[in-house]
Amino acid sequence: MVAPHPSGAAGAEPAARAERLERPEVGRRVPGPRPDLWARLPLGKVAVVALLLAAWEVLPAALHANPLLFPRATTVLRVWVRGIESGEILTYAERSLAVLVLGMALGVVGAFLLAVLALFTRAGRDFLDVMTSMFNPLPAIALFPLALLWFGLGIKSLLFVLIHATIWPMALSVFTGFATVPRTLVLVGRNFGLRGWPLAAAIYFPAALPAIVTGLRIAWAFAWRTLIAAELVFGVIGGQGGLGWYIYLKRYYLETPAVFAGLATIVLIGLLVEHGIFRTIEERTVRRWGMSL
Amino acid sequence: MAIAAHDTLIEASRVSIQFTTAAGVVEAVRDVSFQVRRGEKFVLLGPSGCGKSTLLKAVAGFVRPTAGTLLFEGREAREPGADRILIFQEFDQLLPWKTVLGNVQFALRVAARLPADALSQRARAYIRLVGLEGFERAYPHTLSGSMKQRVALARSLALDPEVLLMDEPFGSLDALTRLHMQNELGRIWREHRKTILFVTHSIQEAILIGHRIMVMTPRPGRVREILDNTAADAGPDSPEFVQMQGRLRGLLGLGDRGHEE
Repeated sequence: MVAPHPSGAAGAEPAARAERLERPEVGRRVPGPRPDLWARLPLGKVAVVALLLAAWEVLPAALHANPLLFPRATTVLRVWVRGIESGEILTYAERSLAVLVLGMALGVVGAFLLAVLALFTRAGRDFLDVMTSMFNPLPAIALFPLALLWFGLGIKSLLFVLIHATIWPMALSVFTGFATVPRTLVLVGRNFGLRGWPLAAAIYFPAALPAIVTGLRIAWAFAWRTLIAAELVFGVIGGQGGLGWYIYLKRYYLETPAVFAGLATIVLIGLLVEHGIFRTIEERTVRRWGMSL
Repeated sequence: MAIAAHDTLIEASRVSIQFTTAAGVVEAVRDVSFQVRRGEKFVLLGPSGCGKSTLLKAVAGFVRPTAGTLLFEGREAREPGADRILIFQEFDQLLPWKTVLGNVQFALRVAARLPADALSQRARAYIRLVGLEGFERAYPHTLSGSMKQRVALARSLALDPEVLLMDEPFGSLDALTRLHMQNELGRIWREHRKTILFVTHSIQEAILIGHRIMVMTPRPGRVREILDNTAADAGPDSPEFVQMQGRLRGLLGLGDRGHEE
């Protein structure tokens, strides 16, 4: 039995390779304190946020602004905390997210079907090409009046624009992901006797994961903006509004701090999804496997 | 080099392979005949574009001959299968989302359909065989080029195929590492006596590895000559080795003085 051979001996970075040989990255975190934790904290960004908040706190008074129109940061914070505690904001947020998840799920499923069609048929590819180029400059929200005409004031109209917001960018990403799977990997899978669906599940899908995650990210961003805009402009939907409707209502009653609180909630949910969900997925999969785009 | 049984594993008779591309019909291989015996190391040697990789893919079942017959164990190799495993030059033949162990286990699960406990044991044994014990949990992107090729070798051997089809597997390695891997392949062959069909454009590699060497001419690829080779055992400094080198150079039309690479 031979020992692992330091193959980098004649390579460009012998030291680096030797290091790798001694301590392979085993993909599992070592327990205990992580020395890089402090280095990873975005101190500069925290400082910017603190500065912005401080400016917001003093600016209304400095400008002699009407507090009814431009409340201070602490006022907004108080209203926001109250809104969370009473469950009011959470109820509205929940309604928004429920519709969003449903719409996105439908859009994503449709996107996969379209991508597979585009992968295997010329007609599918042309269709995807034309549709994505055509709808790229058209914001999904612009279709909302049409949706209202067709489906009325209800969840169906919302789902229509949400599907529209997600399906095209997602289908394009998934298609690109599938189309750029390394040929060698496909040959390896076929060599092991895989074909058809098992080949797609074992090789194509994981190999296309970086593109799929990117697609989900874009789809989420489009869907979230589209939904809030739809709720804002068209008010109550099916008797129950989401966060957009919450903001609209608060403006109507001139509860300006609550308008700000609604906006802050939208930002927070956006950040939470981006960092809590997408970054985590990326770090556990694509980055860990060295497959970043 | 004693080979126990002289039965034929692969038999190519007057094989021609053509491709239709945008630029027209390309003839990769013309009228090629050869036989590979069970347990031997058979090298296809020729310059780039002589169709040697195409022949290998045809044996693997990825490409069909346009004319002639290509038999594997007496039957036409129409479909890819785990009894003929390809090893590529490219380092991206490992699944990046699986660890070293995961890659070998994946092959065993998919192609050999072993139960889970036998799977792990067998995979670990072959990882040990190629000298990668301790790296079972490492992901491919953390490994060096030669280590990746070792994993590919372990993954292929674990399946216990009838033949290993190696397409310039050491072509992307630096010279020293390549030499080491050539020796390693020799060691592993002595342990397993697996039939190997090996494609290379390196004269030295052909002599170091092959029991027999088939020299091919370029565009379209044809058989120039098939030589028996015993110079590997004599060592690269032996007169026998040097003589073989000269002979192969001559057959490839490089003259006696040409320096390889």
